[in-house]
Amino acid sequence: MPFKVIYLDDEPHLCEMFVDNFASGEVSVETFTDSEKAITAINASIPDLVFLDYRLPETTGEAVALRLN
Amino acid sequence: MSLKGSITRKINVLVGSKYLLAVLVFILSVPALLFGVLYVESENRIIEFAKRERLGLRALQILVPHALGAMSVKDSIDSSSAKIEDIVAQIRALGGGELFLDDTKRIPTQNGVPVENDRQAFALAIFSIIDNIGDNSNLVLDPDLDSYYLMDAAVVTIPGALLSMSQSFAESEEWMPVVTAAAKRIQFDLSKTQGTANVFAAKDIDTLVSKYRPAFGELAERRLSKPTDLNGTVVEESGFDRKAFGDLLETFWPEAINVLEKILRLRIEKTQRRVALATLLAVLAWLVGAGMFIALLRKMQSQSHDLKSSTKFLEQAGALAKVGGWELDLKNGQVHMTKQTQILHEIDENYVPPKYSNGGEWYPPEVWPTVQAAVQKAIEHGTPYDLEAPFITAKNRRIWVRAQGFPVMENGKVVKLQGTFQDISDRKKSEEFLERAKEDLERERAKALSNAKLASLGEMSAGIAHEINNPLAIIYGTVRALPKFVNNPEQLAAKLKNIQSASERIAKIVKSLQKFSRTSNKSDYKVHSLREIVKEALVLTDAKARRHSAKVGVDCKSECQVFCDEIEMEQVFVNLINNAVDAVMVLSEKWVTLELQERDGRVVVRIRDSGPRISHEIQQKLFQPFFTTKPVGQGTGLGLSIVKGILDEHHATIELVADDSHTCFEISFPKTEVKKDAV
Repeated sequence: MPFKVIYLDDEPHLCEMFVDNFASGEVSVETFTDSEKAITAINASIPDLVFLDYRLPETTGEAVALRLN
Repeated sequence: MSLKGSITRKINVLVGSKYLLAVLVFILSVPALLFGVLYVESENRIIEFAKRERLGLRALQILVPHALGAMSVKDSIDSSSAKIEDIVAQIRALGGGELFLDDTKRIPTQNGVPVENDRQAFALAIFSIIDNIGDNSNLVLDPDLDSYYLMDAAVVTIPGALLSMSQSFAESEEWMPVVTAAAKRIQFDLSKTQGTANVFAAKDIDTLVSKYRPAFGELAERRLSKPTDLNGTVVEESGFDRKAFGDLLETFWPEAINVLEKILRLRIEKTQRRVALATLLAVLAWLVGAGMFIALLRKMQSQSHDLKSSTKFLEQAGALAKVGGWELDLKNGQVHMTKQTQILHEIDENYVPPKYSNGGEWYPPEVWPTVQAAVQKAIEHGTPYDLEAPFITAKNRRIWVRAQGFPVMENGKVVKLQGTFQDISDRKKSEEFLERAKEDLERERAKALSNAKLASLGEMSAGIAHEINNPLAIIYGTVRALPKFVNNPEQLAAKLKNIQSASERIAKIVKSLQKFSRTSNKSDYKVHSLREIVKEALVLTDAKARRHSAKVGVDCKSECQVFCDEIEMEQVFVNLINNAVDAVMVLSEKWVTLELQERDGRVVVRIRDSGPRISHEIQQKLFQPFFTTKPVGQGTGLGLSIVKGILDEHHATIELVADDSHTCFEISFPKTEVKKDAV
């Protein structure tokens, strides 16, 4: 069972870069640029680690964190 | 120079006007007076001769009856010399002694004919009287024909007397030519005499003449119609009635004498009146002329006094303004300076400028070529000049002067240069001071602008850093992962593209920053697209807006060209957008919109944000420097005042839109068409 990481950033290239650097056989990385989709995914799968960008369109990483189960 | 000209002009005006008339009247009054004097003198002489005529008449009155005595007058002159002496004594008693008797003595010697006896002397006396009456007085000196009446009388009277005498004196042959000559001389044209008499006669003369002339005329005509008859031979006229002739004379003479005397008296009176009038007129003319002349002299005197005082005034004014005059006479090379000019040169009155001096000795070598060229041009082409230059006085003091030169032309050639000379050192000093102050102000303004820019950069720096950080992270991370894709060219290319795009993002921000932070002391006005400027401003403000989750929207349908300084205008929008973001960041609704429009050729920008309408109280202070609603330490209070300052310089206006429910600024730029063409 690989280590599951979810990454939320509104910049797709940052997400891409994150995957390129950290995704491996032991680490699975899922990235989102849309906060709502990220919240749904996180609440559904319970990842080991979540990275939230602080400044997001319409909201902040803090607000997103508060909505996690 | 010009002062001298004005004096000449003043004199010209004086003489040219009514004063010339005064001089003319005065000049003419002198000959008028002279003429008056001469006229009086000649009239006096006429009076004198008229008096002599009267004497002559009276003498004749005595003589003629004697001459005719043998025929009809009671007292005969036939006998002794004593009787002739009586007659002479009677004539003397009339007052005409010298006149007749001197002539009596003179004539024989003049003619070379000896006077043999008293009778001959007596005859001579009569001729002398005839001479006096007929020639001298009337015809020569007095063309006034009054005297012809006298001649009339003489003409009709004398022939009879002559006839009688020629018979009486016949014994001496030598005397005959004398007698005959006298008779010839009095052969007047009776009809002509009568005509003249008719024209000029007084009423009583007419009566007299009409009464006696026919009788005399008849008698005289008979005697004198053939003058040759008298030549050497006594012609005895058979029909001549001595008795009738004598009687006629006896009644005629008293009347004739009376009338003639009356005429003479009137003439004398008339002449005297004329003399008096002429004298009066001449004296009046002279008085008027002299009066006007004196008035003219006094006027000129006061004019010259005025001129003196105005010259003095001009000198004082010149001293105050430090203006002097000068003149260069090109004919003789003489240079004349006014007192003030000498003072400005710091030379004394005895200084004699070198001939044909063009001022070369006074100007510093670096400006001399310019001055010399102007002077040369003025002399050669008659072009006036006006220049300002440094100048070195005789005491080696450096001052600034303004030198003006005006050529004076004569027959198309420059004969003189006249001009002014002014010390403008004070003005130059204040000009320099002003220039420095202006530069200082410009520097301060640039400094303030640059400070404001730094302030906004500071405000934006956190956001901008983040904005750079993100692409930097992309680059860094992507580069780190690159080795993984070495064997996959497609993926490698995609990654490299990501790096490129991130680099471009950084480059763009850095470029905007560089541009924004560039400092320049001088504004650089050109026609720019306001849309592009707003875009640039957004690059810088975007980070901050995003950081505060404020949406910034731009609505622009055209380029919206504006004549402006690009960086200053960018500053305006950076400030306004930052301000708006600051205002909305605490609100739940956070948006800023920029609306660019072209209305009738003018560009209008509306910047609205979600903030409430600004209160009236704050509106008043909105654009004042150091006014801020932000907490202490968060705002300089300079943002809007700088915006206002920049827009003022662009002749653009900024104001709050009063009827908007939100905060809304409207910027209105002037029309740019004309300026566009100029660029």
